[in-house]
Amino acid sequence: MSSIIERLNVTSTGDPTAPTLLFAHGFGCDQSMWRLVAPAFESTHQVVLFDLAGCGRSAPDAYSTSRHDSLAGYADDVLELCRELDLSDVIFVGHSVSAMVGVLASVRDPSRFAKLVLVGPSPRYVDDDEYVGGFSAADIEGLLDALAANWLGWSATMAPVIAANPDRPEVGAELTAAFCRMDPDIARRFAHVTFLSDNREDLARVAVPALVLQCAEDAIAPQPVGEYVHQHLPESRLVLLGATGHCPQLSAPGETIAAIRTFV
Amino acid sequence: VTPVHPVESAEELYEDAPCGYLLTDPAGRILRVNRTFLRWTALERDHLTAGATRVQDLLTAGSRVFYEMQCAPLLRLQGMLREIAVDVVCADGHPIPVLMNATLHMDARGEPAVVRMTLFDATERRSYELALAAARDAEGEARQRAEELSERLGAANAELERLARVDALTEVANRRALQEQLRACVARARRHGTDFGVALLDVDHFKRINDTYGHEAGDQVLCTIAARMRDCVRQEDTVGRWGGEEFLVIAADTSDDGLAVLCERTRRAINGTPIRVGNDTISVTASLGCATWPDESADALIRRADEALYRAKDEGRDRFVLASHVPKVGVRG
Repeated sequence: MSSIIERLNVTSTGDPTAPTLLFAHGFGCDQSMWRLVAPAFESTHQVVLFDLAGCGRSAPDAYSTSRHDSLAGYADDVLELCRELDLSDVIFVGHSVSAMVGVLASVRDPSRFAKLVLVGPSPRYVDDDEYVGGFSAADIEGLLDALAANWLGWSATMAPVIAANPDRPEVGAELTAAFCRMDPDIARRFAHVTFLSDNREDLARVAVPALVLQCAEDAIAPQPVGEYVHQHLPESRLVLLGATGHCPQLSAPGETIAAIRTFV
Repeated sequence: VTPVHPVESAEELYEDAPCGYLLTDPAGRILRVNRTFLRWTALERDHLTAGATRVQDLLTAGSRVFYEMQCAPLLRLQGMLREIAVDVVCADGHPIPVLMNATLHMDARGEPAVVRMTLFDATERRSYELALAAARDAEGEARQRAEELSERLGAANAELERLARVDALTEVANRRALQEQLRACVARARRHGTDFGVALLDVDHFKRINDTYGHEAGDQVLCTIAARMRDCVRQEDTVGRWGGEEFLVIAADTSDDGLAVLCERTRRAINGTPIRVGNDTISVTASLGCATWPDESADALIRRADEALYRAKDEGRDRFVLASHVPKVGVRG
C-alpha cells in the first residue's frame, strides 16, 4: 500500500518551519472546501490539506470498509498522516463531521495536537431524549434517499453534462468531478457513519483547547448543538459567526479567517 | 386585414415558463419567484419574498442536508449547479421532486451577489429513477438468491451423487459403485501391472436370522457386519454391498497372502463378538471367497471369488477360500 501522503492526496504549503494548520473537510466534499480560507495562513503557518478516505482525489485503496465503518477509522488516518509528516503541536481545523474526527484523533493521541478548531461541529445529529441534534431518524432516512437520488442522477446524467459543458472553465468541471467522485457505496456508508454517529462522550476527553465556530441558521448543526459542544469540552471558546448556513469557510471566508486567527 | 398578434412580454415568459424560477441572495434568501413555482407549491409570493425564507427552507430535511453539505459549497466554488435532485415541500406538506440548476453571479468586486435557479418538475423522472433503483436492488437480490440456490443445488447434487453410490441400509458402497471401482482397478492393473484382489462375503444362515429375529433384526445384523468389515480394511480398499446378504471387498495393491490376512481378520471380526439387537444376542458367522488379479475380466475375477465362496460354504461355513489362478484351491481357516 502506498503512503498516506499519496492515499489521502495530502498537499502541504506555507512555511514548513511554522506551526502546522491541518485542514479537514466534511461530508460530501473535498479539500477544495478550504480554498478561500487556507491560503490566508500560508505566510504564518505550514498549511496541510487532505481528502478524507473515499472522498475527492483520495486513492481507491485509501478506503477500507472495515477501517472506515466508524469515525475512529478516519481519526486513525489523521494520526497516521501526522506520524508520516512528523507533525506535532498541530492546530487541527475540522469542518462538520471532521470536527469530530479531530476530537477523536486528539483523544487518541493528545501529544500531536496543540489546538482544535471545530467548524459547525455536531457530536450527534439525531435527537435523543433531552438532547437536540436537529434531526429525526426519518430525516436521516430522507437524506440517504436524497443522496441515492443524486448519485443515481449524477452517475447517469451529470457526467456527460460536465464533459460537454463548453462555457465553464475547466476548474469547475474538475471540481464537480472530484466532489462527485465518491463511489455511491462509499458515500452511503460514509453518510451512515456520519449521521448515525454519537460522539458526545468523547467531548469531555479532549485535552487541548478548542474553538467552536457556530454559524447562524445552520440546518446541519444548529446553535444548541454548538452550545452543547462548547459546554462539554473541558476548554473551549464559542464564537457565533454572522455567516449563515453550514459552510462559513465559503459563505464568509473573511470572518472565518479572522475567527481562526484570534485563536491560533 | 392582418390580425394583430399580441406580443408576449418577457414578464409573461418568466412568470409562466414551464420551469420554476428563483432569484436568491448568496445565502439562499429568496428575492424573486415566478408564478409556475407558486402554482406547483401553492406557496404565497409575499411570504416567500419577505426576506426570511431561504431556498433551503423549502426543501425536505434530507434534501436540505444534501443541499447544505454538497450543493451550496459546489455552487460557491464552481459557480453553478446542474440537475441536482432535491425535494421541494409544498404548502400542504407533500414533497415534489425537482431538478435544480443554479448559477452564481458575482458583483463588480468579484463577490457573490445573486443566485439564479431554475427548477424542473422531475416527478416522472424520479419515478423512473426509483423504478431503476428498485430494479437494480431487485437484480442484486435476485443474483444473490440465484447464487444461494446454485450453492444449495451444488450441495444437493453432491449429496445425490453420494447417495447414488451408497447402499441405503448399510451405508457402504452399493453395487453400482463397486462395479465402477472394479473397472477402475482392472484398468489400472492392465496399464500399470498393479495387483488387486476381491473378497465376496456371504452371511451364514442369514435366512434363519431373518426368520428367527425378524427382518429389522436382519437389517441391523447387515449394518453391523458392514461396519465391522469397514474396520478390517485399509483406507485404499473398498467395502460394498453386492446384494442381499452378500458383501464385496476390493483390496488395492494386494497379493494372495495379503488378501488371506484381510479375509481372516474379517471372519474373526464377525464371529468374534455376537451382535446385540434389542434384547437378543445373535451369533453370526460369514463365509468368504476371494481371488486376486490377473484374470480375463472383472466378471471372471468375481466368478472365481464366487466359486471360492461356494467352496467355503460347502466345507462348513465360517471360513474363507482363496481361489488359485491355476485350477488349484487353497483352503485355509
